[in-house]
Amino acid sequence: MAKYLLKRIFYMILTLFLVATITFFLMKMMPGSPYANEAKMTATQKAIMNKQYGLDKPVIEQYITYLAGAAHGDFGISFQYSNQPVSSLIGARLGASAQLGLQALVVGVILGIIIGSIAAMNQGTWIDSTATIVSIIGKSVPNFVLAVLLQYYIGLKLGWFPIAGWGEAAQTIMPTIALSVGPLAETARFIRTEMVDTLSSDYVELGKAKGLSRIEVIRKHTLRNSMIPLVTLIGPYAVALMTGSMVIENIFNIPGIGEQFTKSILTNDYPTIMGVSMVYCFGLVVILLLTDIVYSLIDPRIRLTD
Amino acid sequence: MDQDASNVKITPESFEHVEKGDTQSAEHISGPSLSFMQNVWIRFKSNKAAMISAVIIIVMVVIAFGSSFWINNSSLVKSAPQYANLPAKWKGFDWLNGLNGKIKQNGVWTDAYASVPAGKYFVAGTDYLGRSLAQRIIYGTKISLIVAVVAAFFDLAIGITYGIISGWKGGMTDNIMQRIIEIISSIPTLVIVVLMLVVLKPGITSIILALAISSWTTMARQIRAETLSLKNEEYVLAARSLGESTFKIATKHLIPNLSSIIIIQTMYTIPSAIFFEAFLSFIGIGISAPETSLGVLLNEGQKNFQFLPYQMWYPAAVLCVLMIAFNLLGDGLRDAFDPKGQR
Repeated sequence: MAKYLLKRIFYMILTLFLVATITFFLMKMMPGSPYANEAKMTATQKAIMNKQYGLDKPVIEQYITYLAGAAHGDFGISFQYSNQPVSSLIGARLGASAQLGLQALVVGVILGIIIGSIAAMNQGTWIDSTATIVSIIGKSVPNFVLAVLLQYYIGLKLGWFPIAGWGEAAQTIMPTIALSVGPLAETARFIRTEMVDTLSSDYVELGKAKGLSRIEVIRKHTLRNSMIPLVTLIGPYAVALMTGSMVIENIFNIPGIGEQFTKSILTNDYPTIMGVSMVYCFGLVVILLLTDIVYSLIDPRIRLTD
Repeated sequence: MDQDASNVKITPESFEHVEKGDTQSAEHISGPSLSFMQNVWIRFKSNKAAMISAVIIIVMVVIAFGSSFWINNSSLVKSAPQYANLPAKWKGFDWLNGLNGKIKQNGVWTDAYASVPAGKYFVAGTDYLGRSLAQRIIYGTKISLIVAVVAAFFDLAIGITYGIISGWKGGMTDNIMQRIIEIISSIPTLVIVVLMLVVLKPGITSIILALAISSWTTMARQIRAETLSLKNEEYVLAARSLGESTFKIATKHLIPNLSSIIIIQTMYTIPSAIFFEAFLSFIGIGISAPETSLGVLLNEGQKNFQFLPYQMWYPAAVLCVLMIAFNLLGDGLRDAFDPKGQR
């Protein structure tokens, strides 16, 4: 276990190092200068600016400085917001994105488990087919389309929830719904499949034969065992939520990282693009490692070895 | 038991004489012998949702690509401001609000075609530059399909080659190749795609390239796992010992046996590529005007959604139908190829 974890952490660091290196050199290759009004600057001004940002040093030295900084969570200074460090720019926005992502994950997974298990218990009936249709639609309809429709029909026409913004609890409801549909559909499908399998397994048959009630069989034996493999989906969910938050945050005007990412791409703010990319990668590798550990803890059959 | 057995008396009369010919007919195979693909086809045909999806996709592909002669980039950039923002109008549908050229303004249905010469119809209305939305949707669908299919093709090419080499070579090569996959797949697709788009010029080519680079790992993993078990099959061993070249073994023995994985995996890559293209174009970092795609249309439609909802609804509906059809087709193919597998 310890050996496995060490190895995993080594690969995590290697991944992050590679991403940092690749992004650094890609951004160095980009044409253009970081200064907005370069044409008006004199050579001396430019030299002073270059010195201030460390751009007068050789690329290798800049690279080492960048790596050392990145290891401490320091990604340099944003081109777009003058003199604001990327780390504080991202740090200020991390909370909103994390909250939105977690809310969507919890809502999506819980509703997905409910829909999936109801479908499995009523296998082959109209309830099952309805659940299947719901999950196919949820999987297929892009979340940003849903977000725009929600914003207009629920937010503007019915006026149930505020149409945009961030801060009050009510403002988080619609973006959460829009973002949770993907995980919901995936969970429902997954749980249904798992439960249909588990329902026909020997220990469930034995439970029934011993006179356990239907509810007890499902609660104690079926559902619990069907939910364990769900942990493996957390990684893919995290990826989907990162992608989703980028567009949902834009639609609902939420000050999160995704919205910042879009802004920095559109304005060629390279240090911020690099910083956000690193944060996303770091988030994913940590989540993948945690999922593995959690999975091995709740399912002792899974051993963390090669 | 012993007592019972001793009571049983077996006499020649206990046996019944059977004609010799009957044994022959008992061995007869009455059903037609079906090949693997025939079985797949029979299972696939019985899945109504998948069949309907296949038909929908074929119709969409035919319309999108068949229309290339009339609808192309040069006909689409022409703007006609006098026709700007007209809602849908169909011949003979005057009684149906929504298809009669009327639009709701302050709660009243007013005729938007009042200043348009009679006999002019736009089946899906026009956009803010007076361009036919129907034509733009058809063209956009074509672009989305091209992006998806080409990305899937590259995904296939890279994934299959990588997977087969990794599985076939085994040992150190396999180990290194698998570590590379592990590293690549722990980088979010979004980050790879965005970095590619920042470095390359935004456009169809960049999106295709970005999607191809980021999405082949799943395919490679599955192909490798299957190759590992196929490589020990006797027919592969026979081919090897007869001195067949590795390339020929791969194309003649491995790929045909990997075909179901390849087909199923491709069917899942296509909708995710369609989604990614729409997503990137929607937030404005993918395909952008004057080029068009479903994502671009959604982006444009969203800006006017409050007043001209049809400009978003139509492309959104087409995108959703396309996604649903591909997902259902993928499920149908998976069930047809692998009936024992998860459903």
